[in-house]
Amino acid sequence: MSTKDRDCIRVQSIVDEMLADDMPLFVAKHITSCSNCSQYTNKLNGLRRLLRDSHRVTVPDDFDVRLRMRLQDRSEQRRTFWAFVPTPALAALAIFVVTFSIVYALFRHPAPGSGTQTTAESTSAPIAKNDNPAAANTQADPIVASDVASDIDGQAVPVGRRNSAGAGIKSISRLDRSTASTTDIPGVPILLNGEQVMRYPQVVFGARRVVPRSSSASRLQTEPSTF
Amino acid sequence: MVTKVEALSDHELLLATRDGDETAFQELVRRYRNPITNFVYRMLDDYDKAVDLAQETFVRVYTSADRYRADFSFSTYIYRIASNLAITELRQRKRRRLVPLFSFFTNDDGEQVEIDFPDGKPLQDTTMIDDERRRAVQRAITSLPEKYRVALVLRDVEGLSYERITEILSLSEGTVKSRINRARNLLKDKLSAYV
Repeated sequence: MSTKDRDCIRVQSIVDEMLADDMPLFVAKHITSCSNCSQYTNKLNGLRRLLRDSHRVTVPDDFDVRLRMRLQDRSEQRRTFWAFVPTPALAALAIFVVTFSIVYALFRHPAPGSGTQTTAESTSAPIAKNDNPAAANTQADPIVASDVASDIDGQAVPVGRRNSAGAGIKSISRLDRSTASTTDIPGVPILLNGEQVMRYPQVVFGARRVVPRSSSASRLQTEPSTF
Repeated sequence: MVTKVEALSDHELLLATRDGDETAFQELVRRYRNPITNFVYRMLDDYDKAVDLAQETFVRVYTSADRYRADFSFSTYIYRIASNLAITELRQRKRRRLVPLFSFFTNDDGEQVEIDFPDGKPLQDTTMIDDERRRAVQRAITSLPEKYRVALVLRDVEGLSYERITEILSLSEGTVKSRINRARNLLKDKLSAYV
């Protein structure tokens, strides 16, 4: 390959890579002296001009408006998609939780005097004896065993299960509640089978702390101060 | 201090768009709507579809702004999206086997001819020549194979550098140059009357 051929290849490569019509000086010199390269450059530049100067389209006037609407539609589609997927699951979960809560509450706290006590309720622990308050503390109903709170005088006792003395607890099984007299008043200790028991207040779901009204005052008067 | 969006670079505008700045996105659209539409139009020779795909390009830029990586320039990024959309559309058209209207019409020699519906506007010589040349150029570009067409349009119509085209098409520079060279040779034959 001669030097001229190498120059032609080099020049044509440079012309090929040029984006504008202006070319380096040595390329221009070569083109004026080389008919092949001159023809190549003229044809290439002519084609480029033809392509570049051909009609360029522009966007319609409502391009931005349509684009905005399209973006809005797309975001709504996304929102709809994400809203659609979890809604049934969430709704089912909510229904299950509400139903379970209602059923659980009904079984645990049946209405007083209702004759719909189930056998499942009769499996509860029996009433703790009242003659040994300390032991009664440890024999608390499993349902309320966790409901231990600190007493006023620092003694930990299950909430809402006090005997008449106010020191021990009375655990009331569901069996006893169902078999107890319908005339007893919730929250008031009554005598049942020789034992003193107390019905839960109707309006409260779960254990409720019952403190004798006069306990604070009477204790202050009757119990000796620890100081 | 409030920075004018016109002064921001494309990259900064996209970062602002990612942070929810609508004005920044509007500025990006303003900068690229015509080049992208023109590029897609050259690829498809269908103005309505070109506008549609240009809008889709901007929608994708907006919705995937979080995934934008600054490895390439923004123009490379947006041209890549547009070229992918245009190529997908071309392939779908090929699968649908769209039959052009003029294929039903032949001349006396049995060759297919394009039917030109009459235009009510008054015609002038210059307008006719320009229109004819424009149609010839567009027809020639459309007749190129897809892989040559996209490279040639990016280079000679949109005026992008080889480096940028290699990034957009994910090809080597040699392949890009080869494709552009082949496309030019094909066009020279088809447009010899105008070159």
